[in-house]
Amino acid sequence: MNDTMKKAAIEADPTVPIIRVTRDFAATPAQLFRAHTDPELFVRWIGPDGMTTTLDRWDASTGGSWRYVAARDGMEFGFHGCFHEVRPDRIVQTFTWEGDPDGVALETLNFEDLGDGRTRLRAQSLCDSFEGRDAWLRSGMEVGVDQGYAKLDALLAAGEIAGTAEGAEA
Amino acid sequence: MHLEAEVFDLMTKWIERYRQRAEARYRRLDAVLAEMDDDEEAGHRPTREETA
Repeated sequence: MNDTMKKAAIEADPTVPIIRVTRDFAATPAQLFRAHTDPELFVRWIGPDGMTTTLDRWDASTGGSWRYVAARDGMEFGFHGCFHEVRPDRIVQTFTWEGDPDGVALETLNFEDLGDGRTRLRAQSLCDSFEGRDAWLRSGMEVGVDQGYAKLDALLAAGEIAGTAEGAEA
Repeated sequence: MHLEAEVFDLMTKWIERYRQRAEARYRRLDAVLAEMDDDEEAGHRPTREETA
């Protein structure tokens, strides 16, 4: 499968509370790494559209920690965690949304060089329970209510979105 | 059986919504990466994009 994964592909594992996202980028692993570790670059893309992301703490190195706040219309959402390991092809970190302060996910990012200046990002979030994972999937904080739900429902109704096969026969 | 199908539909919706949020984030990242290319071209070495 040499074709690029131009759109994010997602998998919610049925046996462990994991979400995996895979996406290809027209960039080198070094560029992708920089966009994940350089604070000025990171804030430009991490936050949802229409929200302002402010870094409160940022030490993107093995053993370091981070905290940022996403804000819109006076509402603030805080997130924090630790960098367990930071190296050019891999970042491992914890992730907590402060609205659920006891919940913590372990995030693993891998930058795989595809050659020709392209890189595949594999992002895995291991949540601490299925409830936690499903709540996170459900939260939808980043999408405006009117931003595509109706369209999505129409697509679902039209059967254009394939389900995750197993269990579908119920 | 019917209830299971409904739960499955709901889960599929959540997953697709989550995927859309990830895709929106990665499009913003695409834009940042494209600007990094420009910076590097202006700075020192040419990127492979130029020869592609």
